[in-house]
This record gives sequence, C-alpha cells and structure tokens, in this order.
Amino acid sequence: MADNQLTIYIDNVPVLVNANDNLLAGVLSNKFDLPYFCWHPAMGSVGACRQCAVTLFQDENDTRGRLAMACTTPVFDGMRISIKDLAASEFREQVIAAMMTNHPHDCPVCAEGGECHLQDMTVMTGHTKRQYSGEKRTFVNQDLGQFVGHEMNRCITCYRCVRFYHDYAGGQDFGVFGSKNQVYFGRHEDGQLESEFSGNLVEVCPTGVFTNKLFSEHYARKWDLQSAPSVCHLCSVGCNTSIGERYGSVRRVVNRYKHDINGYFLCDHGRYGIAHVNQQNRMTETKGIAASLPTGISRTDVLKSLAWMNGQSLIGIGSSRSSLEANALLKQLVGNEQFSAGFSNKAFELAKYHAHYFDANKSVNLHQIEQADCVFIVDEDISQTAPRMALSVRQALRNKGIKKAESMGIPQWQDSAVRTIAGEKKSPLFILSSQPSKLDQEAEQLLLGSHLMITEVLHQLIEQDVTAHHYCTFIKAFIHAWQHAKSPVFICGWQHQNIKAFTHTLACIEFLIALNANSRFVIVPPDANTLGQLTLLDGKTLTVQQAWHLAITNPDIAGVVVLENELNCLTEADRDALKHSGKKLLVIDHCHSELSHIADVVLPCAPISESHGHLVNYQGVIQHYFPALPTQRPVQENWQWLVLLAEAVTSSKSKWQGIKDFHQLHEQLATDIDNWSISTEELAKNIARETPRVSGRTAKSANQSVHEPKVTQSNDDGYRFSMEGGKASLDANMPYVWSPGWNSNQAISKYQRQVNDELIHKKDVKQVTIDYNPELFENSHQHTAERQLPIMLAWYCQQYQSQCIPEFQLLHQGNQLLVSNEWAQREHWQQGTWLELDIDFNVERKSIMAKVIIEPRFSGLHMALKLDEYCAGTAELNSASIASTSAIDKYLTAKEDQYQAALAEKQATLVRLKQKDQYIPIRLVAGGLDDA
Amino acid sequence: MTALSHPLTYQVNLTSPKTLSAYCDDGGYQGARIALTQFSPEQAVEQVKASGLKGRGGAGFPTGMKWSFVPRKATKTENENTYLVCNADEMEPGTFKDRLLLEGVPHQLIEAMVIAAYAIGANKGYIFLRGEYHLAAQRITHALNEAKTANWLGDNIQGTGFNFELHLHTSAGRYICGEETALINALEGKRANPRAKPPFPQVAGLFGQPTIVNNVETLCNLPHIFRHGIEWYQSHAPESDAGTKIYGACGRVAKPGLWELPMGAPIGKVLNDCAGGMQSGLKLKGLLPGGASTDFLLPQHLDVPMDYDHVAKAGSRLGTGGLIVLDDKQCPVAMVLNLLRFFAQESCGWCTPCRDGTPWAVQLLEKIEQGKGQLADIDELYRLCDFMWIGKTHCALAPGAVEPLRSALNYFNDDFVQHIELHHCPYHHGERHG
Repeated sequence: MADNQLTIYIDNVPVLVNANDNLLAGVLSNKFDLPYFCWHPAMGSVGACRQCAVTLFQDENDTRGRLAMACTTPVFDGMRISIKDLAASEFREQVIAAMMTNHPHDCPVCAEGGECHLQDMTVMTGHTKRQYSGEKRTFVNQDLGQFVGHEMNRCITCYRCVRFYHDYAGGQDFGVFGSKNQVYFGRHEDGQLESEFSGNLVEVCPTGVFTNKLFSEHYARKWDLQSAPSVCHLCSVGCNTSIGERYGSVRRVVNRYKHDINGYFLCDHGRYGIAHVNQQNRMTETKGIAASLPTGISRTDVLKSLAWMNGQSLIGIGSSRSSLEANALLKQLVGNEQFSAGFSNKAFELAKYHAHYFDANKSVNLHQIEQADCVFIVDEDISQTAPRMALSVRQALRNKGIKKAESMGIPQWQDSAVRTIAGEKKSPLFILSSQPSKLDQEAEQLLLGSHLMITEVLHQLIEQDVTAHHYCTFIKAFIHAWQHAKSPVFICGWQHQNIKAFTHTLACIEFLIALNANSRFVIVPPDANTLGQLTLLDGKTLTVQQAWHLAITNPDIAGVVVLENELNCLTEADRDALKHSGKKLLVIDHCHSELSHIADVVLPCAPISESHGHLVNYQGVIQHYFPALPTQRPVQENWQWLVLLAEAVTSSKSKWQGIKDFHQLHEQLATDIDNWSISTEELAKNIARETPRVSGRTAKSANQSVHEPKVTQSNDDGYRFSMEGGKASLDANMPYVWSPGWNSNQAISKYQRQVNDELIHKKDVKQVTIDYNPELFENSHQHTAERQLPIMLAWYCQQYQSQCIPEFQLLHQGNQLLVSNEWAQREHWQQGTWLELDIDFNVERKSIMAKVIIEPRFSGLHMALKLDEYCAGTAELNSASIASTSAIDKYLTAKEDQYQAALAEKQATLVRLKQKDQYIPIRLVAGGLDDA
Repeated sequence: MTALSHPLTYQVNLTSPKTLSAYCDDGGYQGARIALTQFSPEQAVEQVKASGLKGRGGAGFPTGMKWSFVPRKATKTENENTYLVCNADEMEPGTFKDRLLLEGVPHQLIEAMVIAAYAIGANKGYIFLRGEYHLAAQRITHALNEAKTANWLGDNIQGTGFNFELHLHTSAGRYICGEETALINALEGKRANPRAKPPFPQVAGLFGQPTIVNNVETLCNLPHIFRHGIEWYQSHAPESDAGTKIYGACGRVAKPGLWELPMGAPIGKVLNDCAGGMQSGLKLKGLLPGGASTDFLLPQHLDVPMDYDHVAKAGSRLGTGGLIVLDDKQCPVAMVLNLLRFFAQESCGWCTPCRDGTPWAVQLLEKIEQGKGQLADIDELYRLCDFMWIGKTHCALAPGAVEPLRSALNYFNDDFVQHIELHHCPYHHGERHG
C-alpha cells in the first residue's frame, strides 16, 4: 500500500483510495458508479447539486448512518460508506426528481442527446417517473456568438459553466444572474463569448444548455460518429483531440484526455479550427496530372505526368504545419543540400537559437506548469499563440492560495473554500512584453514596451542592476520571487520574430538557473511541428528564400516541391522569378494558397482529419494522429504523394506502398529516436472507429441505399473504419470515450488509473532530442526602435488555414493601432482616431487602416498593431496620417462586405455539406490510387 | 424601566433617539470605557464567555466561544486584518426586534461594536443593515459621525491606543444575508450564497480574513455586561440562559409589539400579559415561537419558557423570539403557503433541495389551497420535508422552511385533508385571511 493510500469500505467492499482525495473521487477511482453534477475532476467540489449523497457509517456496528455528500467529504482510513443504502439512493433519486421539475422534455431535439450526463445520471438513480405536475420555469436564451448555443430551459443549475468560464478560465463576460429557481447563466447581454475557452462550456455542461453551434448545424448523434484519436495541429502545445466524422465530412472536435498536456480542456482554436477541412478552400483535384480514364487518375497517370522528374535534381521546401515523417521523406527525396525546413531567413535565425537552447530535461509540460509557483513570461502572448498553456498558467497562479488553504487543513479539492481562503492571493506572475495580453491583469509586475526596452530590462536583470531607474521595481520583485520559488517557470517564444530580443531572452536561461536551480523553461514555437523541423536541420539546410533562389539560379535544378506551405515570406517578385526561370513548381497541400494557383503541379493531400503522422510539440513530445475518415480519390496522404514522387524521380518502386509499411518508414527516418513507431502489438488492436451502437450497419447509408455498404478496408494502422474491432478503450489513443451507463465524456474516469491520473493504458512519452548545434551570430540589422510595430494576432488569426473559416472571419474586429500615451500626445492622436498607415510588412509594403487605441500601460514611445489577417512577426511603420472620411468609409464598407461575405460563405458551406450527405460514395476507398 | 431591569431598551426613543451626550449622560459608553481600560482583549473575551451570552440571531451559539476561535496574532502584516461585522439584515418574517434597537438607540450598537472589536482585535467593522431600514440607516449614520467626532471611533480611541473604523453597509435585500457567510459574500460584492464551511468566518471570513459576525441584539448586550458585571447579568434569569431578551408578538393579537423580559419568560406571558391575548372573537390555534423558520407550537405549549433549551424540548426553536400567532379563523394551509412562497423566493439557488424543493412545495400547497389537491400531495409534501431537511442542504434556509411546513402537516393535518375533500378552502367562506 502506497503511503498516500488508505482503505475505505464501500458497501462492505474494501478498496484503496488516495488519502488526499474526496470521497466521490475515491469512489469513482475504484470504478463504482455514483452520480454527480457540480463536481468536476479539474475544478473540484462545491457541494451545490447534492447528487453524490452516500450513507456514511460511524463504524461497523452503525447500521443507520447519516447522509454525506461524497464530493465534500474527506476520506479517512477505515471509513465505511454505502452507495446502495436506501436512504442515500432515495435521496439521489429525489435530487433528480427536483431537477426534473424544470428540465424540459426536449431530448429528441437536443444536441446533447445520447451523450448527456443528465440522462445517464437520471437512469443511474432509477428515476423513471414524472412526479411534478406544475408549470415549468422558462428563460429567454441568448445569442452567445459563433460557437456556443444557449438553451437555458435545460439548465439544472450545477454552476459548472460559470465555475469553468469565470473561476477557472478567468473569463469576465459570463456570469450567474438571478436567484432561487430562476438562476441564469449567460452574458450581461447577447454577444460573442470573449474567452478563448468558450467551447469547453459544451463539455463542462452536464446537459444541453451549452451546445457546439457548428456541430448542431451539421449534426450527428455521438453513436453515429466515426472517430479517431488526433492531435491538434493549430499550435505548438499538441493538445489531444478526437475528431468525429459522418458521411465524409468532419462534424466536430472534442477534447481527448491527456494527463500531461490538455487534461480536460481545449481552446476554441483547437475545437473549432478543424472547420477548415470542410471549406471551399480545400483542394480536392490534381493539377498537371493527365488522367487516362474518366474515373480519375491512377498511379500510372501520375508517374507518366511526372516523368520529367526522372533523375532530376529538386528543391524541397517543407513546413512546420506538416508531419514529421512527411518532412523527413521530402528531405530524403531532395537531399540535404536542397532541403528547406520551411523557415524564412528570419525564422531560421530563431530556429537556430531555439535548437541551441532547447533542453528537453529543463522543459515542462502543462501539468507541470500548473504546479509552478512563479511564472515569468517574456514577449509571447500565450493567451493567443498557445491558449491552452495560458490556461495552465492561470491555474499555477492559484498555488499560493492553495498552499495557504492547505496550511489551514483545507484540501485543494474543496474549491470554494480554497478560493475563500485565498482571497486575492496569487502566485507571482511577471510579464515583460511588447504587447498586452489577457494574462496581464493577473501579473504581479508588468512591463509593456518596445523590444529595445525588453532587451534593456533583460540586460539589467542579468546584471542584477537594481539602481534607480524605472525597471528596478520589476527587477527587484522578480529576483526575489524567482529565488524563493520552488518550481519557477520561464516562458518565451517566437511570436514577434525579433531576433535581438529573442537572443537576449534566451540568454537569461543561464542566469535564471544560477538564481534557482529548479528553473524550468518553455520556448513556444509557432507551429504544431516546429520542434519536429528542428530535428531535421543540419548544417546544409536552406532557408525558404535560399532554397527558392537556388532553384531559380541553379541550372541543374528542375523544380521545387513545396509541402503544405503557403510560403508567405516570399514576395510576388520571388514567385514571378521562378515562373520566368522555367522551373516547375509542385505543390502538395490540402488548401489553396497563392502558391497553389501558380503551381504547375498540384497534388491535393489529406488534412489532419484524413491522415496519419506525428507532430512534435513545444516540449519535444512526439504524438501520433490518425485519420477519422479515409481520403477520397484523388486526395492522398502527404507521405503517399511523396512516396510516389520518389518513384517518379528514381524510376523504381518504393518499398513503402501502404500504411502497413508506415511504421517501417518511421524506423527508417528516426535514427536517433528509439522506438517511437507503432508497435506490432498496437497494430493488432484494430480498434473500431465507429461505436458499437452506430445506427445499424445496414441502415447507416439508408438515405441512399438499403444495401449494406462494403466496409472500408482497414489500412492496418491499428484502427478500423468499422463498428467491428477492438474496444475504443484498448489503447491510450481512444477514438472516443464511452463506458456502459456513461455515455458522455464523463466516462473518462473509467479509463483513468485514478481520477485526474494517467490513463490506464498510458504510453511512454517519446521525446525528441535536437543534435543540431549551429554557429550563432547576432543579426546586426535592427529596425528603428520607435518605428517597430509588433504584430498582435487574435487566436483565430494565428494559422494560415484558420483564415478561411467563416466563423472566424465573423470575429474580426478591424485593425487597431495600440499606442502609448507618449505617442498619442506627440502625434495628437485621440482614442478611436482612424489612421492610414504605411507599413513595411516582412515581404511587402502596404497601406492599411487602423483605429487608435491608447494603451496607457505602454512605456515610452511604443506601438503595437492588432491585425485581422494572418501575418507573422514585427512590421515597421513608415508613416501614419489621419485618415480621410472617405477612406474610413471605404474601409468600413469593405469590412461590412467581408462580414456579409463570411455569413454567406458560412451558409453556402452548410448547404454544400448537407447536400454532400445525400451523395456520399457508398464505398469510401482507403488506400492508394490503384485500389479503385 | 431602568438600566438594570431593561438594559437593552431603557434608552430607546423611537421618535428621537438620544444624541451622544444624552446617551452618555445615562450611562452610555461606560461599558466600553470599562472594557477598553480595565480588560485586556483576552480578558474581555473571557468575560463574555463567563457571562453566558448566547447569540440572539436565532442559533443561540455562545458568543464568547465564537470569539475565542479568532486567531490572535501579535503582529499583523499590511494585508492582514480582523473584521467585526454586525448582522443587522433583519429579514425574518414576523421579527422586528433589531429595528427597535437600531432606530431607538443607535449609539448602544456602536458602543457594543467598539467593545467587540477590541476583544477580537478587529480594527475594521461593518454594520450590514437591511436595505429597507431607511430610518435606521439615517440614524446610524448620524450616530457614527457623532462617535467619530467624540473619538469613540477612529484612531487611538479615548487615548487607549485602540483603533477601530466602523462603516455602514446597506444591503440590497436578501433574506439569505442573515446567513453569516452569505452576508460576507454580499459585503465583498459577490453573490449572497452561503459559503462552504470550513473554513469558518472566524478563521477566513471577509476578504479571506478572520471575521466575527454578530447579531444586533447580541452585540447590544455587551455594554451592560461590562458596565454591571456578570453576576448582575446572570441574575435576570437564574433558571434560564443569561440576560434579558426582546420578545415580540404579531398576528391577530390585541397589542402586537416588543417587550424586553428576563430570558426564559413563558410563551403565555408574552402572548397574554404583554400582547393582551387574542383579538376578541378569535382563539389561538398555534404559533411560531421565533420567526417564520420555526416549528408551530400549540395552545398547550403556553407554559414553555422561551429560552433555547425549553423551546427545543417542546419541538421548536427559540429563533428570534418573535411570536407569529395563528388564530382559528385563519387558514393554516394559506399561512404555510405564504411562508413557503417567501422561502422559495429567498432561496439563493445554490443547492438543489432548496432551489427546486421549495417551489415544488409551493406548487403543491397552492394546489391544495385552491381545492385541487389530492391526498397523494400530502405524502409528497412529507417527502419534500425530508428532502430539504438538515444534512441534505447547503445551509439552514431550506430546513428553516421545512419547520413550519412539517409541523403544520403534523398539527393541522385535518385542515389539509379537508381542503382536499371539500375541493375548496374551508376558511375561505369566513373572514378573508391575509
């Protein structure tokens, strides 16, 4: 028996529970069924719903006992409780009966139906008859924006939503109103939910008050979804997700529990960003490949059309939004000297420093960040670039209060009591940044200013220079807090691509370790596989610009292969130059870009929802994603196209033909990474992607044919496109979560070792090491400090693919120029003044409109530009002038047109998808082009 | 009426409460002076413990013991504080005793709070006043200013080195603010939901700091305990709990009102001697001895002394000591319905039994009162009484609502059955109730 375990008796059965847990968690950890609502494994206990009542006995002679709410009752050794006892089970049934006095009878039209925790708990308590004959309470619902539907009549007032949104995630625009049985959860008025975690309301709500709007619009019951374990591809955190599909289109993403990373929560980018796979922008046709048959192209067609490649030398440009293995295959195809990992000149500098300073042993996962007691963030707005990480930082700030509560004998899970004791006490957070962030108001010390200021502060910090200047308060407080912290965490990132500030930032690492040996470091890269790309770098790797110019200038090179990269660091002139050089451009991607329009050959590849691969997160953790649905010809997975290209170049059949060879591919590629491929054992699990309850195999395509469709051939990746196969719970990578009696995501406790612990089938963490040790030299070129414009992007503008999602476009707020008081006074700009800005972006000079927002917290002469368009880094301001009325009108009209266009696009997409549901191919064929 | 016989009310003047000097002329602030100069804070707590003073808000918890839970710290950091809060959110239906003290002798409360603050080591205090008590708010504000000017509040009070800042906070009006942790939440600007306990407010209350919340009447005992001593205090009611108590009566009695009597006066004395018995032509049917959230007692209980133990033994609670009297011409179902409507309205909405149970009880009582009830509804009401009882809810509001309901179901069961069998209210043809 471990130290922290003790024995309790549940209906006379002795079980071991964690001594620090509450009784409910102990009961659930032992896989007993006990209904609950207000308790949440990540949010602890508040004792509101009274649903988890059990009978607690004084000793073995006590036969009467007393009722106790399990979630608010600590466990003790020898504790005796009964779940079955009549007094307790009757009371639990009455709690449901009381909730049902107001809960409507609309289960058939409720999007939660079939995965409703309230349904499950109702059945569990045995409440089968309506007793209440009076009128039901009704509410007016709100429009909560693009993502979350609102149906307050269904509310059972468990307070989980507000506890998540406000208490856990720090959202300020959602609360609880009213009292008695008219308690209302919503905003003060209709409007878009502002938190980047709003989508979690859907999963946190035990019933259908909050629903996923996008899912509801194109809906399928949970049991009819075909799902696969996936990994979010929209930032570097690597949250685990489950993608659900029906009739060939992706319906939704839900959280997939991962102890070390995302736990129970996703950000809205991860939840809703998948919509890009359903947009018009998707590439579904080849270009430059001549088909020999009307039914479509075949392998032979591709090889014939690409015969020009035979024996030729090519340039390959990869991408950090593509998988590790696809990039590695590309590198192998073109050779080390002609490979670019997809980093621009600027980004490559950052990559070198990142590679140099990256130390997997000194990095921390999100679970560890939540244990931190001091956090220092330098010039990275993680609330937008890696929102899930910001959520973990918020939890870390509670540790001081939690510690105080513990000293008073109140355990962490007593959530409301802990918050009462904590009051305003927070663990220290220090932010030094060139732009504001949603975490700012939590900071003990905050300095916002130019990159010049940032480098100055960091310099003085390292020198421990606390002489009289106005950074000394920050530096003094910081050094004191860092020295006294038990587990301090430092976070920085690539966001503004300012190499000087970045090098200064990374140079702190050594100093911070000297200050406190327990210091841990997080460097946030921009993309889901940036770290994977770092493992592919060597002394010969080219930047994008170098690769591009080499292709143009070197007569031996026949063309450029671009893998899932829109290459926005190239100018129009660069693109024209390639065209004029006569070199071929071959693009493999899943969505259109300016590049795909000018490409000679376009090979449409599968997006994340339809493909296999590995992504390496910010911490170097390698994670596998699987397709939720098979590709439809001519779309192929990126690696399949690359295998075909290799055949075209070498004229010999590649040894990698199917996904069953895929794991060998991994072994081939990852020479320095031990055993991270799928094991034979895992492959043999053959887990069913469809639920055992999928609406009858013979009926699932009944809208077109009553004949049973042929099951899509399994492609030996360990999962089957079928309801037959291994149980979802056989592997840590569960396609969906389900357990008898537990149809909602709450079933997860059945698959955790203990509540909040690792999954029973935990996989060993596979982490990369980076051997690349480039020569570092400081880039001397710097922008004039005061003309520098760090670019701020909201989370929905952080990725190229996300731009095309109409729901995201509808969130655009117009460009804003944040200026310090000093700037505003010097230029006589008022709050809300419209300016016409002449700006040097990384690749082009553009004139844009922006509204002035005075940011009083900016020190000195400082500005930041908030844009609605995806654009990385820092720009430079050439000039700014007050905009004319006509220019403002023109801009606002254009904005309104964009808004209307996005609305129309949203509708059109929905119509198209629903139409498509009626004409799905009966046989979805997975595999190569010749399998047709 | 003398300072010795009616310590709480002898200075009461409802038309024009005494100014500071008039209050002092009649012994005012003497208790505070004695406490601050002759007692150390620890000794002051011991004195109150020894006096046997019990909380007059309804629960009857020994005041000195409550105070002794406050952690004492030799030195406090900038962010550390101890708070004293006066619960003047008198919202119990049928109870108006605190109003008398607030409007009639505001300085007595201020003096009392100076003593309490000194004893528990609080340098900040709040009077959390029921929002509707406009007159009390005016009079307290005036008295606070007088006390500040006379250095009975502020820094270095009367040269003793003790600092105490006292603020008036007028409530936005919720019954639940009578629950001390809900009151604290409201004072912090949060929703008035009762907090999870532990931690108790004495350890982590207002803004997470040690806090004592005492009722108006409780506090008002303090000046007299210090002025006249423990022996005098206990001599009022040697057979009962110490001190005097303000009792009240409302309903159709001859003279509704408030009377300060030695603790433990029999119910009959309050009803018949003080309130002059029932109005002519009416008979006593039952009464709630201490506000709306106490069990009914019957005419047979008139000898019961009104103190905590005796009323409990009779099957009810002393509560606030304010009788609500039911006569034989009023419908007990309608009365209970009225009370349950109040409790359903005032439920904070936090826990399920109270939030959804009280309106359910209202729905059933409405049905019965309208003559649409069925016998099964009575069973359902019994079930709801059990469902909302102590141990099943987050705080005491729902069990308080159950008390009049369950006792009415027991004592006046025939009335419920009659409503159902006659398909109308049997009282409805007589005098209109309410």
